Amino acid sequence: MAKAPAKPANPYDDLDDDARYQVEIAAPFKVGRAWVRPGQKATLTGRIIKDNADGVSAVQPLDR
Amino acid sequence: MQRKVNFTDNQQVTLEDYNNLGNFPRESMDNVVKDLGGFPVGRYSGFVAEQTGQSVVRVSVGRLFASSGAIFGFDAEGGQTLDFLQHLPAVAQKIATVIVYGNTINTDVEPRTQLVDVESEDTQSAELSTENRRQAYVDFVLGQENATPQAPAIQSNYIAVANVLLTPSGVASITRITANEVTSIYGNSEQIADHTRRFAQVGPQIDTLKTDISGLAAALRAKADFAMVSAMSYDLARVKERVDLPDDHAAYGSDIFWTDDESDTAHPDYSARTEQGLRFPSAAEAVVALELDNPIEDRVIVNNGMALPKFSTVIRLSANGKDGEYPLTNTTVQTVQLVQRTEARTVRRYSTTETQGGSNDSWWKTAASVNGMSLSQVGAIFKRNGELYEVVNYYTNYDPLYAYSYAAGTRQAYERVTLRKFTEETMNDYYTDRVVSTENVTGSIVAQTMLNSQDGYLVGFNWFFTRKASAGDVRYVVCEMKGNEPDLNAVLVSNVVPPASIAIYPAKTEVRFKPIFQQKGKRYAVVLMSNGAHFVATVAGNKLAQGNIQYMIDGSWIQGDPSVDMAFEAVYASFTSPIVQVSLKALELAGGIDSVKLNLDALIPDGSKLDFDVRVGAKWVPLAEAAAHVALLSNLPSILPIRANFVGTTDVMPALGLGEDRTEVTLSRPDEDLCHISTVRTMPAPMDEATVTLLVENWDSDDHDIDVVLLTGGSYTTTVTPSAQIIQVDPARENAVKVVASFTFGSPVSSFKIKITGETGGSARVYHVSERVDVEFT
Repeated sequence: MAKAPAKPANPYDDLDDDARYQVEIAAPFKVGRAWVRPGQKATLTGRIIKDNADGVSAVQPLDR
Repeated sequence: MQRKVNFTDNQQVTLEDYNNLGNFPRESMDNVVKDLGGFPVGRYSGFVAEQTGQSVVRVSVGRLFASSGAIFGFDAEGGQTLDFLQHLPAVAQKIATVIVYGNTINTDVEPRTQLVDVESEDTQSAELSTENRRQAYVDFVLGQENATPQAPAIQSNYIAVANVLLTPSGVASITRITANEVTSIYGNSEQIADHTRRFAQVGPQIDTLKTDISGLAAALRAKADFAMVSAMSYDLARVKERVDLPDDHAAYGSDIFWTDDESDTAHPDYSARTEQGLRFPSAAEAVVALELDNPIEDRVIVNNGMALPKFSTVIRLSANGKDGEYPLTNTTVQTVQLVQRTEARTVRRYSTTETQGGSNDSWWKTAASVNGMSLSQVGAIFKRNGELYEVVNYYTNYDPLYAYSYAAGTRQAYERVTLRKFTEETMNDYYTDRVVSTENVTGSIVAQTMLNSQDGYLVGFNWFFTRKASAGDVRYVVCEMKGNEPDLNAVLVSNVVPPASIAIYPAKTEVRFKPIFQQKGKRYAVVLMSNGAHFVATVAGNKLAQGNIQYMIDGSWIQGDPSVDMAFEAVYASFTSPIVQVSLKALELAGGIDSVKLNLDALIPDGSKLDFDVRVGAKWVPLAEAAAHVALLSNLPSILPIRANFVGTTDVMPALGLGEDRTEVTLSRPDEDLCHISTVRTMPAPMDEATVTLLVENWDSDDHDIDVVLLTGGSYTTTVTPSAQIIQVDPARENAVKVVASFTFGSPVSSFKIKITGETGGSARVYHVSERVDVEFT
């Protein structure tokens, strides 16, 4: 019996859930009532980034 | 009975006479039934149908009353039996309608001897009918067999008496058709008596129904009808969609930062400015007064803090002479309150780094949508520091390109011109009671009204006194008119002439005062008040023609002799030059000036103009032309030379306030950090989520930064950061972005404050938040 492919690890697992990060958006997703879309300057918490990892292309800690 | 047959002694009687013995009563009876009965179709009486066997019905005797008035009788002994056995339905049901109809027949045939020859008296025997009868007949008409049977249609000369419901097993029911039954007079009488009793009970209520309905109609007129409310609900739903209000939102709020009434300015972290948007605070600020550079400048004449270009005087209105005299103490002594009006204001703003309110789309749209801003918003424009400045009414011209008036000829009291970096806001009322001073004055009061035929500045009067007392000042007041009476609540100038200064006719008593602008076509009044026994000269024969004398008695104005006027001369200003440039004291702010805000008392008549130039480097630049992208003060000069340009005609020129009482000049440069904290936002119920949206203008995406957090907890010290904050470019406005911050609370929150922090990051531009909207959800 073939072994099921392993689920890829979430690249943002190491982020702090409550910390805020400057994020580049790859695909639109909804946070609460607001849509986050590519091209917008978005600041998200680590928890939101993990929940929407597919839509995030780059993460940078907020420098302040 | 209409007709009867007459017989006399020995009269020969004909056969017709005998027959008429019956015909005449029948005729009368027919008329009675026809006229008093008035049946449109026949009616019946009697004919009671009852079931006597399984399929047998017996109909009792009765009468048929035809619409013609004829009465047909049915008097068969025992009635008539109708047997439906042969007509019972096979499966379902059927209705047989019992009908009656009439026919006139000759009956009761008997053998009678008939005389055939009178002379021979021969007779013969014959079978003769001895009775003419109107006979009613009973029969039935069958309907169709059906599960839900219908009564059959019957001919118009039949009268339906009863419906007999037939089933396969026989007669199921008999229903008497009472609608065709004749109603007796007794029955009618009983019904009328019943109605009368009922009407007596409800009559009083019916009598007041008209009043009640009128009351209801009056109440209904004040109500919106359902269709309107329904339409409004639809519109509101569309508006919610347009302004991005979620359908399930539970609470919401917004601030356009016109005033700081929704700002927690006492918060220790608060560092912001609310001035047509939320703006960065000043890093340094100086508030100074506008002064003449040369205190003895001879190009202008300063009177009561108002500077007018140099002028000479000219007499424009004259009623000279002495045809009589009027004692100033002629009427009872009154105490009146004078409400002094003051010159209107103009506010000019210039900023190098900030954009002005014209690009602040939010409040400007608000202003347009409600046909004007709130009074507190207008008041905030012209208010000076620490001053109670109440606006009670105004007209607005929010768009100089599409100026409009509320009524033809109405001069709007507030006008605005906005360029990108420069704003000019002017109250167009020449004199305003928005800042008032009042005083109480006692004396006998007399007034002379006058019509001003052309724009100009009134600077004084020449009075003619015929006698004077040794004591008692004469107070003169120039005021506007309300209707046809002097308005002491709109006083333009009020001064006193002591007895020693009063000259006796023909000498003039000259009084001069602060120039008062008088509009063409407007009526004014000069009011004299005194306790002294002074006499003024009067002229007769309506020499002035455009005014009259009025006296105040018991607080009311009374018109005097219409052909008599006070003798006087009105003195006006005649300006030497139509263009005058005056240097003002240079503006100074240590460390550099970025923004200039001039809040000035000013009077700018139609056809005149008041502008300011500032010197940048070696060049004088009009402040108003520092529009668009001109960064006039980008080098942050610490000293800014400024001059005023008065432009007009020899009759009208603008007047400019000078000094601390009439001017407030704010010089500033913005700080690099912003921190605004709202007042407490209290929710109607605990909320789970919140979204705060900011509209930010003059945004520099490279350097600017902004953050929104919520403060919760008992003393609002717990910071809740947004789970997401996005900044999206607003395509409809240049350099504008929308900041959307979404919050999710760990546990429901009943109240919070909104904290906005920002940095300019060394940018040459400074942004402002023109609107904040928050929406909360359960």
